[in-house]
Amino acid sequence: MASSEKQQKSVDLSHHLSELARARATSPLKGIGRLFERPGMISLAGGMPNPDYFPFAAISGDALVSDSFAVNNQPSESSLSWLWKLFGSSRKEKTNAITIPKYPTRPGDVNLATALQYGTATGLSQLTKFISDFVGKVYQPGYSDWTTLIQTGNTDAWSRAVLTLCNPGEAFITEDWTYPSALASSQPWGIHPVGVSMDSEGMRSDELRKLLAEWDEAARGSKRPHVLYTVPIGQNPTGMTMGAARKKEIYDVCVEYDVIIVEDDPYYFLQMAPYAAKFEGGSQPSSADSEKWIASLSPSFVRFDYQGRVIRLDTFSKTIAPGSRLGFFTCNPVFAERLERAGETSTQAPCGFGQSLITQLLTTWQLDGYVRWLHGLSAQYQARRDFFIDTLAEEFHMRTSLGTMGAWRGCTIYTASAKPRGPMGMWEKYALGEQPFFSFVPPTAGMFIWLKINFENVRGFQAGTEETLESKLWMKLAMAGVLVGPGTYFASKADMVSAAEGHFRVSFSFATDAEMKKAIGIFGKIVRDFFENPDSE
Amino acid sequence: MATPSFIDVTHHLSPETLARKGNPLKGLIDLTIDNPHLISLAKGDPHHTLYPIRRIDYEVASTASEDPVGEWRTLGSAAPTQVLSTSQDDSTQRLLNAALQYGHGAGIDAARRTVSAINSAYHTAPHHVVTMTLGNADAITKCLRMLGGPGDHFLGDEFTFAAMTIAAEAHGVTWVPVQIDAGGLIPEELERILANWDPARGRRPHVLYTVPCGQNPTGSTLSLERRKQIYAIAQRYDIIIMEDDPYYFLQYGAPPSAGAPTKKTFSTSFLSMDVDGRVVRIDSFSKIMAPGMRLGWITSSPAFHTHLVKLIDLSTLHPHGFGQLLITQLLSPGGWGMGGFDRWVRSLCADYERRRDLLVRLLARDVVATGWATAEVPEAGMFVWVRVALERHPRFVRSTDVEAAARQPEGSLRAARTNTATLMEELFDACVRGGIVVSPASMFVLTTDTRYDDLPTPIEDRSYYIRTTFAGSEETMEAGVPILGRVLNEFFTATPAP
Repeated sequence: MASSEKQQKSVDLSHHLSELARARATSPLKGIGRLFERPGMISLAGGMPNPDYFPFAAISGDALVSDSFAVNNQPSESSLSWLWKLFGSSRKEKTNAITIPKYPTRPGDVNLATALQYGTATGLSQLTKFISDFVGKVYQPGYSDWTTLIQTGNTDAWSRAVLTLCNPGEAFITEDWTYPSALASSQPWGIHPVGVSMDSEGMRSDELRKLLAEWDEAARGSKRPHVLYTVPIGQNPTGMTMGAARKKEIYDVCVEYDVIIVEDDPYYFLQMAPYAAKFEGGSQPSSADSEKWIASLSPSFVRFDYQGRVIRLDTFSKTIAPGSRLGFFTCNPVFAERLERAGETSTQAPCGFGQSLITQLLTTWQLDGYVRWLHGLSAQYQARRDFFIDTLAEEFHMRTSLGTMGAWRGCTIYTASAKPRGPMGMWEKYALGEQPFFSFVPPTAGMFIWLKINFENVRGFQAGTEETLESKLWMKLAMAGVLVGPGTYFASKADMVSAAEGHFRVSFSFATDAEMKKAIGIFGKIVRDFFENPDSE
Repeated sequence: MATPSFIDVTHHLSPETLARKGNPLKGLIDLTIDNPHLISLAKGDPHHTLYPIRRIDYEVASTASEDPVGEWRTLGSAAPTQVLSTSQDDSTQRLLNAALQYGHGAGIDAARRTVSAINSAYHTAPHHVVTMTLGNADAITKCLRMLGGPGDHFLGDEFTFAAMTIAAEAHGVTWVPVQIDAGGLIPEELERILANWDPARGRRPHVLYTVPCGQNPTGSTLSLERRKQIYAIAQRYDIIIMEDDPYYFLQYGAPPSAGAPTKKTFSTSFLSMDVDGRVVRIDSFSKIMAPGMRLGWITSSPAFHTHLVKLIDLSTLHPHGFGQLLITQLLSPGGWGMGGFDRWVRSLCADYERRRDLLVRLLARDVVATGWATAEVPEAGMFVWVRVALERHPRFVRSTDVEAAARQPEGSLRAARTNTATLMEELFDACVRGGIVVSPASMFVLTTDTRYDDLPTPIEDRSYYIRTTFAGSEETMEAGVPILGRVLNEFFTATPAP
C-alpha cells in the first residue's frame, strides 16, 4: 500500500465544473447550523422534530454471516446450510442478529434518533468512516486528500456528476457500447456521448488518444470532451474487464488531454476466474484467502490517480441489495463539495433506515468480514456464469476459437450452432448445423453475457435488416416467456447497429438454476425456429 | 368514475422534460413486474438469495389508544409497541424482495396503494395519481425541473424556506415574490403581478410554489376563501400550483380560550379543488414520522406523473425499499391500519398544539410583554413568526421619500428605506451572545430579480421578524424564550443613541 506521506495533494481541477455546479448556492441555513454546535447554545431556530416523536422503538434484522458463501470448491461450514435444510435439522441459514435502537446505549452507537433526523447530505458518521477505511484499504487512491461522499445509487451519482461537470451541448467520452441510462440522463441537456472502440479489455487507449488528438471542434459541433464515462469492470453490456496496464494508459491520456474520468464500477467485486467448460475441469476457484483475493482484483482507476481527476462511483446495489439505493463517490474534495451541494437540494442524505441497517451490518461484519462476504459473492456469480454457459453448451453445439481480429482479438470465442440430433434429427436434414447462431466471449466479471447474434445466417437474410431481425427475435422470445436485453439499447450511437450482427445482453444474476435451464431451453427452441423461418407466427 | 377533463400540460413542461427520452431498460423491468411468468434474463438484479438481509423488523409505537403520541412520549420504553416483520422465510417474502430489488420508478405498487389510501382519506382527487419521492426537497427539485428551465419565472411566497428554492435558481429559473401576510399568500397581490406582467421580462410565470399550511417561516395558513381565489387565478392565468404541504397534519384549532376544545378538521387542499389537473401536491412523512426516512409522495395528473417517472428512472431511481416497506406494513390492517394512522396524526397534532400553546404563552410572558415585539398564533406547522417593533428602536432610521427617490433614478421602490437590515443583524448577534439562536427573516427572503418591483414595498424594510419554533423540547423553549425577552429588552433600552 502506498504511503500517503509520499502522495501529492490533488491538483486544481475546478475549471471542469459546469455553470450549473458553479451556480449552486449553499443553503443559507447551513451557516446558522454551525452556531448550534456551540456548547450551551439554545436553539429556537431549526425545524427539526424532537426524536421522541419518531414512532420507532428499534429496527432489527437478520443478516447472513459474512462467510455464508463458499469461496472455493470447499464449502464453508455455514454455506452448508442448504444441506442441513435437506436433513431438516435447521430451517434457517446462519445469520447475525442486528439491532438499531432508538437511542444509543454507548457513545458512537448507530441509533435511530440520529439516523432518522434531518442531517447533512454527508450521511451517518459511522458509515462514512467505514467507507473511508474501505476505500483506503481496497482501492488505495494515489493522492492524499481524496474524500468520499455518500449518494443514493450510481444512476443518481452519474446524473449528478455529469451535470456537475458538463455544460449543455458538450460531448463526453464513453465506450462504444454502454449502459443506456448513462446516456439518457444527460440527453435532455444535449450532453451527448462519443464512443471509443473496444477490445477484450474494454475501451482502447490508442483509439482514445486518436479521438482526442484529432478532435475537430468545428466538424464535431462541440468542444473537445473533458469527461470520460467508463464501466471498466464487467462492462455493461459487453462484460469486458480492463486490466491495470490499460487503465494506466487511459489515465495518462486523460492527464495529457485534461480529461476527468468517471469510473462507474458496480461490478468491481464480481470479478471472477476465466470460464472453463465442464469437460475441461471447470473454472478455477479463487484463492481461499480473502486478503489475497482482494489484492488480485484489477485495480481501480483511483489507484493510478495522482492528480484527483477520477470520480469513482460505488454502489451497494450489487453487493447488498438494489433497494438500498445507497452508494458513494470517491473523488477530490472540490468535486465532492459541489456534488454534496447538488445532493442537499435534491435527495438530501440517503434514507436513515437503509443507512443505519447497512452501517450496522457492515460494522458487525467488520472490514475483513465485508471483504469475505464480497469474496463469497464473487464465487456465487462465477458459479452462476459457469452454470449458464454450461447449460447453453448443452442446448447448442458449441465450439471455441481464438479471436484474431476486432474487439475479440486474443479472446476465446464460443460459437453456438444447432446441435446434431442423431441420425433421425431434423437439424441434420436441414443442414443448418454448421451455421452459427450466435457467439460470445465468457465474461470475467459482472452479471452479463453479451451475445452476438449471427443474423446473416437467418434464412432469407437481407443486409440492412439486422435491427428488424433483432427486435423480431426479441419479441418472439418475450412471447415465449424469456426476456433478454436488446442490443440496440446499449449502442452509444445509432450507426453501430448496422453491423452484420445483432446483440442480446443476457443476465445470469437474477434467475434460479431451474429458471435459467428453462429459459435456455426456450431460447434454444425459439432461436432454431427463427433461423429456419424468421417470419413464422 | 367520470372521465376527468384535465388540461393538456405540454406547454408547462421544461425543455429538459420535453427532450427527455425514457430509460429503455426500465421498460423491461416494468414488463417483468407486470408478468411474473416471464423469466427475466434482462435485468441486472441479484437473485434474492444473494441479499444478506433475511429479515427486517420495525418495532413501532402502538396506536391502539386514543392518544398514542402522548402515551409514546410519557411512558418511554414502557410504551406499548408492535413489531412489523418481513422475512425470507414466510409469506412476507414477496414484499421484502420487492423492497430490496429494482422496481417501478414510481415506487412499489403496495406503497403507492398505501399513500393513495391516505390521499383518499384526506383529499378528494380520484383522478390524480401518486409517485413516491425521497421527501420534499427531492420532490420539489424534480417538479421544478419538470416545469421550469432557463428564462422561466416561478411565483413564490416572499418569505420562504430557501433550501427549497435555491435549486430552481441553479437551473436558471427566476423567482417572483408574492407578498404574504398573517393569512398567507395574498390573492390580490398574485393577480396584480400576473395582470401587470411585463413581457420584456420573458414568459409570464406559469408556476406558483406555495406552502398552504403553517407556511415556513411565517406560520401562516391559507383560508378556504383565499385558496379558492388563488385556484381561480391559477385557472385564469394558466398557472400550475406546486402545493408543498409538509405541515398538513399539524393544523391546530383556534388558540385556547375558556371554551371547549374545537373540533378539528383539516383544510381543503388545493388538490381537492383541482378539476383541471393543474395542482402538483407534495407530501412527506418527515414531520409526521421522521425526516431521516426520506420518503414522501407527489400527487399529480397522470400526465405529470409520466414525466416525473421518466426523470426518476434517469436519476435517483425509485426510493429506497426500506421506507416503502415500512409504510406499506404500517398502514396495512396488520399494522396501524388507516385508523391507527389517523389516531397517530391527530394525537401528534394535539401534542404539537400543546407545544405551540406553550411557546405562545412563553412568548407572551417574556417577549411580547416587553412591548418590543408581537407574535401571531399560527394555526398550523411548527413556527411562530415574531414581529420585532423595530420602528421603536432608538437608532431606527427611515429615509424620507425624497431622499429615497433621489437614490433611485427610476423612482423605484425596491431599495430599502430603513436601517432594518442593520438593526436585525445586531439583534441576531446579541441573541447569539446571549446564548440563543433564532432565525432572522432575512434568511428567508426569496431571491429575486432586483430589476423589477414585484412587491409593493421593499422586503428589507419588512424583514423585522424572527422565526421561532416549537419543534424542539419544552426545556429548550422554557430556557430560550426568557433569554430572547432579555436580549430584546437590552437591545431596545441599553443601546446608546448615536
